[in-house]
Amino acid sequence: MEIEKIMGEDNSLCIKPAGRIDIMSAGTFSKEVLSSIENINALTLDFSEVIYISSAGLRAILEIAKNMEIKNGSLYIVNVPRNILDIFRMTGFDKILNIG
Amino acid sequence: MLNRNKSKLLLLLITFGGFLCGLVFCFVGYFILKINPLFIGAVFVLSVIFLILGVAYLSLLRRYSASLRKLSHMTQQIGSGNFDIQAENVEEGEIGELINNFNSMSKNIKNYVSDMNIQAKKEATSKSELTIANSILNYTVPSSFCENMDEFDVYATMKSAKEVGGDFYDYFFINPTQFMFLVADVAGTGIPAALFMMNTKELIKNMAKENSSPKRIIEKINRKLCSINKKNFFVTMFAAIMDISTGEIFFINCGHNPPLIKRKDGKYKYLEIASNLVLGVYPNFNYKIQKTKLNEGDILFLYTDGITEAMDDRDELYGETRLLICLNDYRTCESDDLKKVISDVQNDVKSFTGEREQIDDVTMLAFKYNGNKKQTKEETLSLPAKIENFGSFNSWIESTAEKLNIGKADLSRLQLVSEEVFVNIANYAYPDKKGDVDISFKKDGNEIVLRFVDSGVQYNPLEKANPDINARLRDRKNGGLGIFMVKKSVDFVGYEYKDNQNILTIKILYA
Repeated sequence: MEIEKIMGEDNSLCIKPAGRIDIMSAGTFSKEVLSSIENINALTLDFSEVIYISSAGLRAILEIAKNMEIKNGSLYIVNVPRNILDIFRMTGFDKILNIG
Repeated sequence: MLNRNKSKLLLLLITFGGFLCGLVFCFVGYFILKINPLFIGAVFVLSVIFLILGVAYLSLLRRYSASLRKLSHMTQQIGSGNFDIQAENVEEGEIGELINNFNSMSKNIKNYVSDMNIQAKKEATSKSELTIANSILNYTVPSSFCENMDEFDVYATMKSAKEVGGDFYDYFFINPTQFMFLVADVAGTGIPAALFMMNTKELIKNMAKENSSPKRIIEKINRKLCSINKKNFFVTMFAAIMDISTGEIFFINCGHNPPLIKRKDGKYKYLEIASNLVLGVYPNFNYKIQKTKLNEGDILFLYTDGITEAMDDRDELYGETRLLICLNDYRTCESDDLKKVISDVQNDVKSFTGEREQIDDVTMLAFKYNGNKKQTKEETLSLPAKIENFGSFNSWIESTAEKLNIGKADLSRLQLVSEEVFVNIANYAYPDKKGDVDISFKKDGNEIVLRFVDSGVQYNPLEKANPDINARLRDRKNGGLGIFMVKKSVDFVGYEYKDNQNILTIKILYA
């Protein structure tokens, strides 16, 4: 899968994955993100190009979210397509993440 | 012109006045002036002659003017529409003749007008009868819901030449899987033929629904038609009965024009038909039914001889060859749109006949088979339960869903649950050894059924506790998420352990 990274000001980072986040690509996704957020305090995940997510993808997000929380950083997930949003709601992820 | 009374009066005055003057002159001349008595005598005679002439003229005038008045009155009456008038004729000579002629003229006019009235009434009646009959017939056009079935498309048109036609088409379900369609032509014109046509139409439907085999259906139709056929009408017909679940089609041609068949991606050609006698003539005729199979995309084109016998102004017939050429024009041949195919033929016939009036009814029916959508098709896959096989497994799910005509909306859901189950099995079923997972994917009516079978560790994934979806981030665990999502996404999920196999069945109700 393709992952776009956009550096912002004040240690903020925007990451935009594209395509499917499933059992095959979730590992790559989380590795990429975790390796980029060492010094980042504010992480934004732009989901506008994500077309599919399974439990593997959710686990990856969970890992990233916990990582940011430990650092007292913030995590925002934005531009979430409807079908992905339904999954976040189904699993209660909309309550533990900042989803917009 | 002087008022005739005034002029008569004047004439009277002149006549009598003149006579009186003559008399006075004679009297004065003889007794007073002593004019020559011979001269007086002559003047007296002249005066008398003058009087006689005057009176004679006046009386003649009166006689003629009476007749003329009679004739003038008569003309006036005829002019205002009263043709019943006859003048009393007691005259002789030219006037008598004139009055006679007037009388016969009046009689002729009366008869002529009366005949015209009868004719016009007759025509008006028959025209309105035909219009009524025609609108009744038009009401019995077959229901249009058949046109929107998944398994086939059908479209037909009928255009009559006179107000009431002898052609008809019909299509209907005999039972949930058998669909009958036909075109027919009743030989005969006018209202009796149209009524016979209606009878035939109803008869066909009733016999089809009451009888089981196509042969029995046709023979019953024929026998019944023979028994009600008082005016020696006959019916030509091409009919087909199709099993929409298998594509098998029975057809029969009774003295009708051979239809055309086009296989998917092929060209139109005339269907090979066995010739059978027309219906309604010989009750014991042994009708020969034919059989073939239609596949997805095949088209049948039925029509009546109004097309092939359409004439141009040189009396040349449109014919079967032109019809074939028209249908095989690439724009028509490659079209799946039955309305367009029919209108292309209509336009071609129209440009052939030009200004020439349509002399026979034109009926066309096109039928396209789309294949059996409701069939229970099952696809299976067997592969080693390893994560690295997920890619091929997922592709298989996608392509099978397409084969089973599952829409994009349901596909997403399908892929999610498939992944979760597959990954579960791949991760846990065979911890010590290699093993396969067998997947069955089918659509049964409006249910999508996925079944996963593995011979690994006995394990019921449904027993796993649901994750706490209300827990805070730091308390969230990974376990159980996948199977939880499956449970929430499908209409049914069930597990059983049988013959040393874990069997997980998932059902999604298909919209």
